[in-house]
Amino acid sequence: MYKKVKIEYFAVLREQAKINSEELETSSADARELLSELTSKYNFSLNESTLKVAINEEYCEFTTKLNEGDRVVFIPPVAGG
Amino acid sequence: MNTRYERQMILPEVGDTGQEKLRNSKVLVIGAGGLGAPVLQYLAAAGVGHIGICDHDKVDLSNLHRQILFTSKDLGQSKAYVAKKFLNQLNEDCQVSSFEFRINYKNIEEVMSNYDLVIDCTDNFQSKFLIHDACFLFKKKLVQGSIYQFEGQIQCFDFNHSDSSPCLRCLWPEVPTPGCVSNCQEAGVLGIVSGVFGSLQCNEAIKMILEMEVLDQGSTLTLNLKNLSQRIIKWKKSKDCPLCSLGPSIRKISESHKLTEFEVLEKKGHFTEVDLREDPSFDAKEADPNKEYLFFCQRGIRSLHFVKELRELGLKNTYSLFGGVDGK
Ligand SMILES: [Zn+2]
Repeated sequence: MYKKVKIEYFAVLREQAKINSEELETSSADARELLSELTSKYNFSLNESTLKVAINEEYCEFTTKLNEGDRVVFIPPVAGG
Repeated sequence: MNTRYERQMILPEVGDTGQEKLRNSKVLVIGAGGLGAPVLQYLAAAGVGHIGICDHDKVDLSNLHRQILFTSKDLGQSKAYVAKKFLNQLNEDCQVSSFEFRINYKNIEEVMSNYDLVIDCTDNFQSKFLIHDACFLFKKKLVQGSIYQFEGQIQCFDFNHSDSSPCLRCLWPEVPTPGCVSNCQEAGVLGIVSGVFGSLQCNEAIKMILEMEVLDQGSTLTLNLKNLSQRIIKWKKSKDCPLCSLGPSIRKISESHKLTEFEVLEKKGHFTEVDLREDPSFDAKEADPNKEYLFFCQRGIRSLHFVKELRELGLKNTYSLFGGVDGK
Protein backbone atom coordinates (compact mmCIF):
# COMPACT_ATOMS: atom_id res chain seq x y z
CA MET A 1 0.00 0.00 0.00
CA TYR A 2 1.45 3.34 -1.05
CA LYS A 3 1.51 6.32 1.26
CA LYS A 4 2.87 9.82 0.99
CA VAL A 5 5.49 10.87 3.57
CA LYS A 6 7.64 13.96 3.96
CA ILE A 7 11.32 13.26 4.52
CA GLU A 8 13.93 15.65 5.86
CA TYR A 9 17.65 15.13 5.82
CA PHE A 10 20.08 16.34 8.42
CA ALA A 11 23.84 16.99 8.33
CA VAL A 12 25.84 14.48 6.29
CA LEU A 13 22.66 12.91 4.87
CA ARG A 14 21.59 16.28 3.53
CA GLU A 15 24.99 16.59 1.92
CA GLN A 16 24.67 13.19 0.29
CA ALA A 17 21.02 13.53 -0.79
CA LYS A 18 21.78 17.09 -2.01
CA ILE A 19 18.29 18.21 -0.92
CA ASN A 20 16.81 19.48 2.34
CA SER A 21 13.57 17.55 2.13
CA GLU A 22 11.23 15.78 -0.24
CA GLU A 23 7.78 14.27 -0.45
CA LEU A 24 7.73 10.65 -1.44
CA GLU A 25 5.13 8.04 -2.39
CA THR A 26 6.46 4.90 -0.81
CA SER A 27 5.44 1.30 -0.27
CA SER A 28 7.91 0.97 2.63
CA ALA A 29 6.07 -0.28 5.69
CA ASP A 30 8.43 1.07 8.34
CA ALA A 31 11.38 3.42 8.83
CA ARG A 32 13.86 0.60 8.20
CA GLU A 33 12.44 -0.16 4.75
CA LEU A 34 12.27 3.54 3.96
CA LEU A 35 15.93 4.01 4.87
CA SER A 36 17.00 1.14 2.64
CA GLU A 37 14.86 2.52 -0.19
CA LEU A 38 16.56 5.91 0.22
CA THR A 39 20.01 4.39 0.62
CA SER A 40 19.76 2.70 -2.76
CA LYS A 41 18.65 6.04 -4.20
CA TYR A 42 21.30 8.28 -2.59
CA ASN A 43 24.07 5.91 -1.62
CA PHE A 44 24.13 7.04 2.03
CA SER A 45 27.39 6.32 3.84
CA LEU A 46 25.64 5.81 7.19
CA ASN A 47 23.39 2.95 8.19
CA GLU A 48 20.88 2.19 10.92
CA SER A 49 23.53 1.65 13.57
CA THR A 50 24.95 5.17 13.16
CA LEU A 51 21.69 7.04 12.59
CA LYS A 52 18.55 8.01 14.43
CA VAL A 53 15.12 8.39 12.94
CA ALA A 54 12.37 10.68 14.16
CA ILE A 55 8.76 10.53 13.03
CA ASN A 56 6.58 13.57 13.68
CA GLU A 57 9.15 15.18 15.98
CA GLU A 58 9.83 12.11 18.13
CA TYR A 59 12.82 9.84 17.95
CA CYS A 60 11.61 6.28 17.41
CA GLU A 61 12.65 2.74 16.52
CA PHE A 62 13.42 1.80 12.93
CA THR A 63 10.59 -0.73 13.19
CA THR A 64 8.01 2.04 13.63
CA LYS A 65 5.29 1.76 10.98
CA LEU A 66 4.82 4.60 8.54
CA ASN A 67 1.47 6.32 8.11
CA GLU A 68 0.11 8.65 5.45
CA GLY A 69 1.40 12.19 6.01
CA ASP A 70 4.19 11.28 8.44
CA ARG A 71 7.15 13.60 8.69
CA VAL A 72 10.30 11.51 8.81
CA VAL A 73 13.72 12.92 9.74
CA PHE A 74 16.96 10.98 9.56
CA ILE A 75 19.57 12.35 11.96
CA PRO A 76 23.22 11.36 12.23
CA PRO A 77 25.17 12.29 15.35
CA VAL A 78 26.92 15.64 15.09
CA ALA A 79 30.09 16.56 16.99
CA GLY A 80 31.68 19.64 15.42
CA GLY A 81 32.49 22.60 17.62
CA MET B 1 21.60 50.03 39.72
CA ASN B 2 24.98 48.89 38.44
CA THR B 3 25.45 50.80 35.18
CA ARG B 4 27.38 47.97 33.53
CA TYR B 5 24.38 45.67 33.76
CA GLU B 6 21.51 48.17 33.79
CA ARG B 7 20.17 47.27 30.34
CA GLN B 8 19.68 43.66 31.36
CA MET B 9 18.64 44.42 34.94
CA ILE B 10 15.69 46.47 33.60
CA LEU B 11 14.26 43.18 32.32
CA PRO B 12 11.69 41.77 34.74
CA GLU B 13 13.33 38.33 34.24
CA VAL B 14 16.65 39.70 35.58
CA GLY B 15 16.40 42.57 38.04
CA ASP B 16 18.51 42.67 41.21
CA THR B 17 17.88 39.03 42.08
CA GLY B 18 18.73 37.77 38.60
CA GLN B 19 21.94 39.78 38.52
CA GLU B 20 22.82 38.34 41.92
CA LYS B 21 22.20 34.82 40.56
CA LEU B 22 24.54 35.55 37.67
CA ARG B 23 27.20 36.90 40.03
CA ASN B 24 26.95 33.79 42.23
CA SER B 25 26.97 31.30 39.37
CA LYS B 26 29.92 29.06 38.56
CA VAL B 27 30.15 28.04 34.93
CA LEU B 28 32.70 25.76 33.30
CA VAL B 29 33.23 26.04 29.54
CA ILE B 30 34.99 23.06 28.00
CA GLY B 31 36.41 23.89 24.59
CA ALA B 32 37.51 27.44 23.80
CA GLY B 33 37.02 27.14 20.03
CA GLY B 34 34.27 28.20 17.65
CA LEU B 35 31.39 27.52 20.05
CA GLY B 36 33.33 28.53 23.13
CA ALA B 37 34.28 32.00 21.86
CA PRO B 38 30.80 33.62 22.00
CA VAL B 39 29.87 31.55 25.07
CA LEU B 40 32.81 32.92 27.06
CA GLN B 41 32.34 36.51 25.93
CA TYR B 42 28.62 36.64 26.74
CA LEU B 43 29.05 34.90 30.09
CA ALA B 44 31.65 37.44 31.16
CA ALA B 45 29.77 40.41 29.73
CA ALA B 46 26.59 39.33 31.57
CA GLY B 47 28.46 39.29 34.88
CA VAL B 48 28.74 35.57 35.59
CA GLY B 49 30.86 35.51 38.75
CA HIS B 50 33.04 32.45 38.19
CA ILE B 51 34.08 31.15 34.79
CA GLY B 52 36.34 28.18 34.11
CA ILE B 53 37.91 27.63 30.70
CA CYS B 54 39.27 24.22 29.78
CA ASP B 55 41.16 23.68 26.52
CA HIS B 56 44.46 21.94 25.81
CA ASP B 57 44.91 23.45 22.35
CA LYS B 58 47.00 26.33 21.02
CA VAL B 59 45.78 29.12 18.74
CA ASP B 60 46.31 28.25 15.08
CA LEU B 61 45.94 30.55 12.07
CA SER B 62 43.13 28.35 10.68
CA ASN B 63 41.11 28.98 13.88
CA LEU B 64 40.82 32.73 13.49
CA HIS B 65 37.91 32.82 11.00
CA ARG B 66 35.58 31.49 13.70
CA GLN B 67 37.30 31.65 17.09
CA ILE B 68 36.78 35.35 17.53
CA LEU B 69 38.39 35.60 20.97
CA PHE B 70 41.79 35.31 19.33
CA THR B 71 43.84 37.65 17.17
CA SER B 72 46.84 37.16 14.91
CA LYS B 73 49.06 38.12 17.88
CA ASP B 74 47.92 35.06 19.85
CA LEU B 75 49.15 32.41 17.41
CA GLY B 76 50.87 29.52 19.18
CA GLN B 77 49.61 30.50 22.64
CA SER B 78 47.35 28.44 24.86
CA LYS B 79 43.68 29.06 24.02
CA ALA B 80 42.57 28.79 27.64
CA TYR B 81 45.24 31.28 28.73
CA VAL B 82 44.49 33.82 25.98
CA ALA B 83 40.75 33.50 26.63
CA LYS B 84 41.28 34.12 30.34
CA LYS B 85 43.27 37.29 29.59
CA PHE B 86 40.53 38.46 27.22
CA LEU B 87 37.79 37.94 29.82
CA ASN B 88 39.84 39.65 32.53
CA GLN B 89 39.97 42.77 30.32
CA LEU B 90 36.31 42.52 29.37
CA ASN B 91 34.96 42.38 32.91
CA GLU B 92 36.96 42.57 36.14
CA ASP B 93 33.88 41.35 38.10
CA CYS B 94 34.49 37.81 36.83
CA GLN B 95 36.87 35.39 38.46
CA VAL B 96 38.32 33.38 35.62
CA SER B 97 40.29 30.14 35.91
CA SER B 98 42.03 28.40 33.05
CA PHE B 99 42.72 24.67 32.72
CA GLU B 100 45.30 24.26 30.00
CA PHE B 101 44.98 20.54 29.41
CA ARG B 102 42.67 18.08 27.72
CA ILE B 103 39.76 16.88 29.79
CA ASN B 104 39.96 13.14 30.49
CA TYR B 105 38.46 10.51 32.76
CA LYS B 106 41.11 11.09 35.42
CA ASN B 107 40.90 14.87 35.73
CA ILE B 108 37.25 15.62 34.92
CA GLU B 109 35.88 15.24 38.46
CA GLU B 110 38.39 17.67 39.88
CA VAL B 111 37.99 20.20 37.06
CA MET B 112 34.19 20.14 37.43
CA SER B 113 34.14 20.15 41.21
CA ASN B 114 33.93 23.95 41.65
CA TYR B 115 31.20 24.49 39.03
CA ASP B 116 27.42 24.09 38.89
CA LEU B 117 26.86 24.38 35.17
CA VAL B 118 28.95 23.01 32.32
CA ILE B 119 28.82 24.22 28.72
CA ASP B 120 30.15 21.62 26.33
CA CYS B 121 31.85 23.34 23.39
CA THR B 122 34.06 20.41 22.40
CA ASP B 123 34.30 18.94 18.93
CA ASN B 124 34.39 15.14 19.37
CA PHE B 125 32.11 12.37 20.61
CA GLN B 126 34.56 10.99 23.20
CA SER B 127 34.70 14.32 25.06
CA LYS B 128 30.98 14.96 24.68
CA PHE B 129 30.03 11.62 26.21
CA LEU B 130 32.67 11.89 28.94
CA ILE B 131 31.35 15.35 29.90
CA HIS B 132 27.75 14.18 29.73
CA ASP B 133 28.35 11.11 31.91
CA ALA B 134 30.35 13.15 34.43
CA CYS B 135 27.61 15.80 34.62
CA PHE B 136 25.08 13.03 35.30
CA LEU B 137 27.19 11.34 37.97
CA PHE B 138 28.24 14.59 39.68
CA LYS B 139 24.78 16.18 39.32
CA LYS B 140 25.65 19.23 37.23
CA LYS B 141 23.64 21.22 34.74
CA LEU B 142 24.80 20.82 31.14
CA VAL B 143 24.28 22.65 27.85
CA GLN B 144 25.58 20.78 24.81
CA GLY B 145 26.14 22.14 21.32
CA SER B 146 27.54 20.76 18.11
CA ILE B 147 27.64 21.85 14.50
CA TYR B 148 27.99 20.37 11.05
CA GLN B 149 28.59 22.77 8.15
CA PHE B 150 25.47 25.00 8.18
CA GLU B 151 23.57 22.98 10.77
CA GLY B 152 23.78 22.33 14.44
CA GLN B 153 21.98 21.08 17.47
CA ILE B 154 21.76 21.90 21.15
CA GLN B 155 20.56 19.99 24.22
CA CYS B 156 20.04 20.98 27.87
CA PHE B 157 20.20 18.75 30.95
CA ASP B 158 19.69 19.49 34.61
CA PHE B 159 21.06 16.42 36.34
CA ASN B 160 20.79 18.11 39.72
CA HIS B 161 16.99 18.01 39.61
CA SER B 162 15.74 15.62 36.96
CA ASP B 163 15.57 11.95 37.83
CA SER B 164 12.66 11.20 35.55
CA SER B 165 13.97 12.91 32.42
CA PRO B 166 16.03 11.17 29.73
CA CYS B 167 19.79 11.51 29.39
CA LEU B 168 21.81 11.40 26.16
CA ARG B 169 22.66 7.72 26.69
CA CYS B 170 18.94 6.88 26.55
CA LEU B 171 19.18 7.94 22.90
CA TRP B 172 22.78 6.94 22.15
CA PRO B 173 23.72 4.13 24.56
CA GLU B 174 27.17 3.92 23.01
CA VAL B 175 29.58 6.62 21.88
CA PRO B 176 29.31 6.95 18.08
CA THR B 177 32.52 6.04 16.28
CA PRO B 178 34.62 9.12 15.51
CA GLY B 179 34.90 8.17 11.85
CA CYS B 180 31.17 7.99 11.22
CA VAL B 181 30.68 11.72 10.89
CA SER B 182 33.35 14.24 10.04
CA ASN B 183 34.29 17.25 12.18
CA CYS B 184 34.77 20.90 11.20
CA GLN B 185 38.28 20.28 9.99
CA GLU B 186 37.16 17.70 7.46
CA ALA B 187 33.67 18.95 6.63
CA GLY B 188 34.32 22.71 6.68
CA VAL B 189 32.41 25.34 8.62
CA LEU B 190 31.51 28.99 8.21
CA GLY B 191 32.68 30.98 11.25
CA ILE B 192 29.30 32.56 11.88
CA VAL B 193 27.64 29.14 12.19
CA SER B 194 29.66 28.30 15.30
CA GLY B 195 28.92 31.87 16.48
CA VAL B 196 25.16 31.32 16.19
CA PHE B 197 25.20 27.98 17.98
CA GLY B 198 27.57 29.14 20.70
CA SER B 199 25.28 32.11 21.26
CA LEU B 200 22.25 29.80 21.46
CA GLN B 201 24.06 27.65 24.02
CA CYS B 202 24.97 30.68 26.11
CA ASN B 203 21.39 31.94 25.92
CA GLU B 204 20.16 28.62 27.35
CA ALA B 205 22.88 28.69 30.02
CA ILE B 206 22.00 32.22 31.15
CA LYS B 207 18.30 31.33 31.24
CA MET B 208 19.16 28.27 33.35
CA ILE B 209 21.01 30.48 35.83
CA LEU B 210 18.06 32.89 35.93
CA GLU B 211 15.73 29.89 36.42
CA MET B 212 13.80 30.71 33.27
CA GLU B 213 12.29 28.23 30.84
CA VAL B 214 14.87 26.36 28.73
CA LEU B 215 14.82 23.66 26.09
CA ASP B 216 13.21 20.56 27.64
CA GLN B 217 15.54 17.80 28.79
CA GLY B 218 15.23 14.96 26.31
CA SER B 219 14.83 17.21 23.27
CA THR B 220 17.20 18.25 20.56
CA LEU B 221 16.90 21.62 18.88
CA THR B 222 18.10 21.31 15.32
CA LEU B 223 18.55 24.38 13.17
CA ASN B 224 19.62 24.63 9.56
CA LEU B 225 21.14 28.04 8.86
CA LYS B 226 20.91 27.54 5.10
CA ASN B 227 17.12 27.61 4.97
CA LEU B 228 16.44 28.54 8.64
CA SER B 229 14.35 25.42 9.22
CA GLN B 230 14.13 24.44 12.85
CA ARG B 231 12.85 21.41 14.72
CA ILE B 232 12.57 20.30 18.31
CA ILE B 233 12.72 16.50 18.42
CA LYS B 234 12.01 14.59 21.62
CA TRP B 235 13.29 11.28 22.88
CA LYS B 236 12.15 9.06 25.73
CA LYS B 237 13.86 7.77 28.83
CA SER B 238 15.11 4.24 28.23
CA LYS B 239 14.68 1.59 30.92
CA ASP B 240 17.81 -0.07 29.50
CA CYS B 241 19.92 3.12 29.59
CA PRO B 242 23.52 2.29 30.58
CA LEU B 243 23.67 5.49 32.68
CA CYS B 244 20.33 6.65 34.10
CA SER B 245 18.36 3.39 34.41
CA LEU B 246 17.88 1.49 37.67
CA GLY B 247 20.67 -0.99 36.94
CA PRO B 248 23.24 1.11 35.10
CA SER B 249 26.48 -0.32 33.73
CA ILE B 250 28.19 3.09 33.94
CA ARG B 251 28.51 3.94 37.62
CA LYS B 252 31.74 5.87 37.66
CA ILE B 253 33.92 7.72 35.23
CA SER B 254 36.50 5.33 33.86
CA GLU B 255 38.31 4.65 30.66
CA SER B 256 35.66 3.89 28.09
CA HIS B 257 35.30 0.17 28.06
CA LYS B 258 32.57 -1.90 26.55
CA LEU B 259 31.77 -5.01 28.54
CA THR B 260 32.00 -8.05 26.32
CA GLU B 261 29.47 -10.85 26.51
CA PHE B 262 32.06 -12.76 28.58
CA GLU B 263 32.30 -10.18 31.36
CA VAL B 264 30.31 -9.14 34.41
CA LEU B 265 30.85 -6.11 36.63
CA GLU B 266 30.57 -7.69 40.05
CA LYS B 267 30.53 -10.93 42.00
CA LYS B 268 27.01 -12.11 42.63
CA GLY B 269 25.90 -14.90 44.99
CA HIS B 270 24.88 -17.48 42.43
CA PHE B 271 28.33 -17.67 40.84
CA THR B 272 30.80 -20.39 41.67
CA GLU B 273 33.97 -18.33 42.02
CA VAL B 274 37.32 -19.44 40.67
CA ASP B 275 40.36 -17.39 41.65
CA LEU B 276 42.86 -17.91 38.84
CA ARG B 277 45.63 -16.33 40.91
CA GLU B 278 45.49 -19.28 43.32
CA ASP B 279 44.53 -22.09 41.00
CA PRO B 280 45.16 -21.60 37.29
CA SER B 281 44.37 -25.25 36.49
CA PHE B 282 40.62 -25.35 35.98
CA ASP B 283 39.54 -28.56 34.25
CA ALA B 284 36.85 -27.82 31.70
CA LYS B 285 35.80 -31.48 31.53
CA GLU B 286 34.86 -31.52 35.19
CA ALA B 287 32.80 -28.38 35.05
CA ASP B 288 29.19 -28.73 36.18
CA PRO B 289 26.89 -27.47 33.37
CA ASN B 290 24.27 -26.49 35.94
CA LYS B 291 26.58 -24.03 37.66
CA GLU B 292 27.63 -20.53 36.58
CA TYR B 293 31.35 -19.96 36.98
CA LEU B 294 32.93 -16.59 37.63
CA PHE B 295 36.66 -16.43 36.95
CA PHE B 296 38.76 -13.63 38.27
CA CYS B 297 42.40 -12.61 38.46
CA GLN B 298 44.27 -9.43 39.42
CA ARG B 299 43.18 -7.20 36.56
CA GLY B 300 40.58 -9.13 34.58
CA ILE B 301 42.74 -9.72 31.53
CA ARG B 302 43.90 -13.29 32.12
CA SER B 303 40.44 -14.36 33.26
CA LEU B 304 38.88 -12.85 30.13
CA HIS B 305 41.20 -14.88 27.88
CA PHE B 306 40.51 -17.95 29.95
CA VAL B 307 36.73 -17.57 29.64
CA LYS B 308 36.99 -17.01 25.88
CA GLU B 309 38.83 -20.34 25.59
CA LEU B 310 36.26 -22.12 27.75
CA ARG B 311 33.42 -20.71 25.67
CA GLU B 312 35.09 -22.04 22.54
CA LEU B 313 35.11 -25.44 24.20
CA GLY B 314 31.36 -25.08 24.58
CA LEU B 315 31.14 -23.96 28.23
CA LYS B 316 28.56 -21.19 27.94
CA ASN B 317 28.04 -20.72 31.68
CA THR B 318 31.39 -19.00 32.32
CA TYR B 319 32.14 -15.33 33.01
CA SER B 320 35.11 -13.11 33.74
CA LEU B 321 35.12 -10.39 36.40
CA PHE B 322 35.76 -7.09 34.61
CA GLY B 323 38.72 -5.20 36.05
CA GLY B 324 39.67 -8.15 38.25
CA VAL B 325 40.36 -7.78 41.97
CA ASP B 326 42.05 -4.40 41.33
CA GLY B 327 38.90 -3.01 39.74
CA LYS B 328 36.90 -3.20 42.95
ZN1 LIG C 1 19.59 7.63 30.18
